[in-house]
Amino acid sequence: MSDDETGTLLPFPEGGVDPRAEELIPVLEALLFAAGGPVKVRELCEALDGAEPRVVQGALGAMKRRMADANRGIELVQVSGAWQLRTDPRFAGPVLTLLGTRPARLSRAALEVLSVVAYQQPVTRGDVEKLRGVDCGGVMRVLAEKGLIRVSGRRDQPGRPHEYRTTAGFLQLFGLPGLDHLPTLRERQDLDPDA
Amino acid sequence: MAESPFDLQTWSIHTDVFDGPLDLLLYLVRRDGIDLQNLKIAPIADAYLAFTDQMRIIHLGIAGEYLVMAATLVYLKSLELLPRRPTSVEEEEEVEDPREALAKRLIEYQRYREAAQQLSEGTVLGRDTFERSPEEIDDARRPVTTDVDAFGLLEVFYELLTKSDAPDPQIEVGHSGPDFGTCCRRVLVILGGVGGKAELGPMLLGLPEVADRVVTFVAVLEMARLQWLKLAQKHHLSAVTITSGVPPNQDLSVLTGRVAEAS
Repeated sequence: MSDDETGTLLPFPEGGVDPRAEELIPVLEALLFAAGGPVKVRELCEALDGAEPRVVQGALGAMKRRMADANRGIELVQVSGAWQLRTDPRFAGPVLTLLGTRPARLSRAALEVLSVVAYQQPVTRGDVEKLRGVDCGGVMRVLAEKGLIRVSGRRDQPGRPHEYRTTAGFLQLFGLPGLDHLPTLRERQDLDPDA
Repeated sequence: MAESPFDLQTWSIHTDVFDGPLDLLLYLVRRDGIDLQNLKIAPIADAYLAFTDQMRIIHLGIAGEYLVMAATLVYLKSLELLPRRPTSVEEEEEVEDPREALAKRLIEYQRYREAAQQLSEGTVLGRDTFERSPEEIDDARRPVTTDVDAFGLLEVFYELLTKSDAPDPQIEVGHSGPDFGTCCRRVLVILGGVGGKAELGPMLLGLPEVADRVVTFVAVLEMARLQWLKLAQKHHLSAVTITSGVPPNQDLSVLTGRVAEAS
């Protein structure tokens, strides 16, 4: 899976479900469960012996709505240009207890650097530091190690600094279908100094 | 070198509370209700300097970035306080008001801080939602197919039990290599008693087998550790001389645990 694939998915038709799509829902559920990670519509089509992407897309949409309506413990989500079964956030507590793990944490500095990279990519370390007014080398290295940002090239300026972009791992971490689904950055004039 | 006030050890500590000078400035702007759109440098500079002074009093190291900002603020404050040199209209337009530039930076920084906040308020994998560990989708990995059912498994198990009735295999243990105690004794005999000397290199090279040389070398180290031997060198890289401090028939039982005294 390439890191850059963040293309938006086709909207699925609301309301009624195509009977061909209806047929696909159980097998899609099986595929998504078996895969664990996010699976692209293209990959699902290949597994289904060349099913039509549009039909698969429709089936996934119907499945997502149905799972949400049926008060299930897992939900179907679109992340990083693909589909994945994930646990419902309502049950984060018991799941963490069962797995015996601590919740994933990112420091505020890491979040700030991530958001600068996400909204302004490609950015150099210098760009990020100029914006935050503080050294960001360590934080950026950690983010790269965690696979949330990556070097995408070099900027044509003195020193040829590395340019960074966010990865598919970033979209997966925040459950975003694509970069166009980032929360809207507030416009400058909207800023409330007391916020 | 004289102690410099910019000694890295004392100045490079980040405070947990503020992540850089802009973060601190933004906090002060909010605390004091300063209007960013119409930024006055004097109050913000005073608040900033007072705060960094406090950080120093409670022995928090202040990172260099904070000092750069402090210097910038003092400079901007001085510009604000001094009467401005009259300039032509064109020049006035070209030069950006430094206060505006600072306010812009703060506003820009605040936007991304809010974006970061929004990101962390969303549904985060591993905190709010969980996935099954993703399977590698890989053609090289084939599913396991098996020809047997549970009864087939039982047959295999019986076969295994039958095999385990067979007599235990005979294992012959061959030559186990040089004995540590023998090697120790050999060194002591060569040295020939208290005060006896020999050179380490020729002694080792006199042994025909590599394994003997290795174990003898370890034996020398071990006896040197026990201060039975002294190892000395005249100068760097010169020959190592061993001097014995014990008789050739020294009791080796101290070494027991690892030594079976050679007969």
